[in-house]
Amino acid sequence: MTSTEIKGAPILESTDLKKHFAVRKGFFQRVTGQVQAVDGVSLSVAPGETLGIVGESGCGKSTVGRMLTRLLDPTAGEVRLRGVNVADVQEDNLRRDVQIIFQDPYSSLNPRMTAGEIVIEPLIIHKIGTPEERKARTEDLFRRVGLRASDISKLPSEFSGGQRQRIGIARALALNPSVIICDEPVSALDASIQAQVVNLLMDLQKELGIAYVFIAHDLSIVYHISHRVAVMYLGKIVELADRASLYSNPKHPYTQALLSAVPLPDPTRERGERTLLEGDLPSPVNPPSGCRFHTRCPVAVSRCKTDVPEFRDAGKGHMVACHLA
Amino acid sequence: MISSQNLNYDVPAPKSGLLALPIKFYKRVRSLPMSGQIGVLILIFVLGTALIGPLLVPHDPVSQSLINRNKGFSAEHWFGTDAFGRDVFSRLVVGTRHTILLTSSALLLSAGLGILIGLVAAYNRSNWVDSLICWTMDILLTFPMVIMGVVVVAILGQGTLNVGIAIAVAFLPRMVRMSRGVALTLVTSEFVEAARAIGASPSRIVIRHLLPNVMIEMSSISTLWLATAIKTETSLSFLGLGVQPPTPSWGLMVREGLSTLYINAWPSLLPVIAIFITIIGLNLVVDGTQDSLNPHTKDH
Repeated sequence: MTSTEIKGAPILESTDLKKHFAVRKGFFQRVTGQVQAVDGVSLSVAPGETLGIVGESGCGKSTVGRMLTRLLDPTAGEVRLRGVNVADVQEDNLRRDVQIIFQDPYSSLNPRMTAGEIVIEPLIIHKIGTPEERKARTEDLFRRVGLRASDISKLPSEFSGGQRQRIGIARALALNPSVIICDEPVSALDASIQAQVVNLLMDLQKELGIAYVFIAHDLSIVYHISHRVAVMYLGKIVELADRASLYSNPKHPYTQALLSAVPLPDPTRERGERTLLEGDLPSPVNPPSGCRFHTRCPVAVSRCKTDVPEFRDAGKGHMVACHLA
Repeated sequence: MISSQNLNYDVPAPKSGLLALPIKFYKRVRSLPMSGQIGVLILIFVLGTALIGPLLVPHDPVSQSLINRNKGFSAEHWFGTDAFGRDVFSRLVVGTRHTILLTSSALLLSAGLGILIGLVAAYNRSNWVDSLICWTMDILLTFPMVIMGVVVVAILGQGTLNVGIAIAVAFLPRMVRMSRGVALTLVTSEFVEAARAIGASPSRIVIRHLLPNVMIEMSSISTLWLATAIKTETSLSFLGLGVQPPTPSWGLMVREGLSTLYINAWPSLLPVIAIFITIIGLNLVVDGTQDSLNPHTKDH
């Protein structure tokens, strides 16, 4: 589909995914507008692959993650798991196969449950194994994510942010999923802890062959972990390419602006001229006509205001939605 | 009435043995500010009186004696006698049992039902279930507590059990609104989303994830409301709708003492003092436990 080198059939893919939230006003809750949080996102992840999704706050990347796990139902479009529309998949099977890791390690763990209870809960819900097997599995998961077995009876408040995120990862791993949606899993952590958690995720991928959809706003972390990267702007994907191709040769002006603002982990690369974006992210209730980026684009021409750019292959599977690329 | 069971969540593996729980309870109490400790002492005293007091009283609280009417304090009758010659001390102690046990079990019933309804409403915050529950509770809330009690007693008839039901019904909308409010801040948090992601059913989310997280707030507010419930019970009994004579209860004693208020004020005044002390005790405990029960002050 949109990908360059899908290794085998994609495990999770979405086609023209849309999520519009109704804006309600007044006593009778009349619908006065639609927030177009996500407006036509198509992407795919192959087994064992990491797809990074980057974009600034409010661009809809977390909403995409929620729809991929079916925590939110899409307004339009479909999500397919191993080629089958998830609306037709039994929820039980979906829950086993697609898991999610959350951004905030503080609010994502129930403060009244011990770490062990949190990790064992998916096994209890899906009635997997005997109580002894579940206990052994929990201990195994704790070891795997770098926690001690003695941590099992502790409450979340006794852990640091990084350790809490490890508990969240263990919970996501409990059901042996094939895809994990990582919704900004490290952005709430200290820089040194970020690296540990990202490396843990990469090790787990190597061992277990899990595919990740890694949502973040930090481009250097996405570079570190992803095989392919999608850049989102105001509910749409504007560029999707191999990590190397995207970072060395960004074609969309938005991607260029993002990359020019971020210190890259490659000191040998020449830093081009900095592109500064002017203005704020436009409101998704009333997105700009034509190319959604034209209001802030440094190189916009007149047709950008009227024509919606096609999301097309700009060579070797480097997908971009820009008239000028 | 904060039970030790709600207090022990942060204590590591309990020591085995018969004394473990009392020791833990003692340590928790000692960690409270002085006012809270005094409150706990008052409540232990009141509860102890309610539970074992009636077994120890010197006189039958309902036996009348016409020659002993309106006596003052004496070694025989510690708090004197009332207009029927009944021992005021014995009536006060036995009345404690009726007032405290009746109101606290009514409140427990109300809390059990109300908290669950509130959580269900919060979980369904975006659909008609929440609207239905909220509208119903709003209608119930428009009745002042005592009027509500009068209505329920009028429908069900007089009697101790019906007074309990009346109090439970009167507190139900308050319990629902309160637990819904507390839970609304929780249902949008990521751990509830995480529970959905691992496939937890709505009932599991309500019972395993929401309920334990509202218990702290709800137990402290319920303790505070116990004071209001005692007032409601005494008001109903005062109005003659509650506990029926000759069975003593604090409110009934206040009422019966009114006729002789100018001759002998003690039969009316003493239950008022008892109500006052109990309510002060409850408020001191709630005040003192607020900080130590708040998980947020522990977290960071």
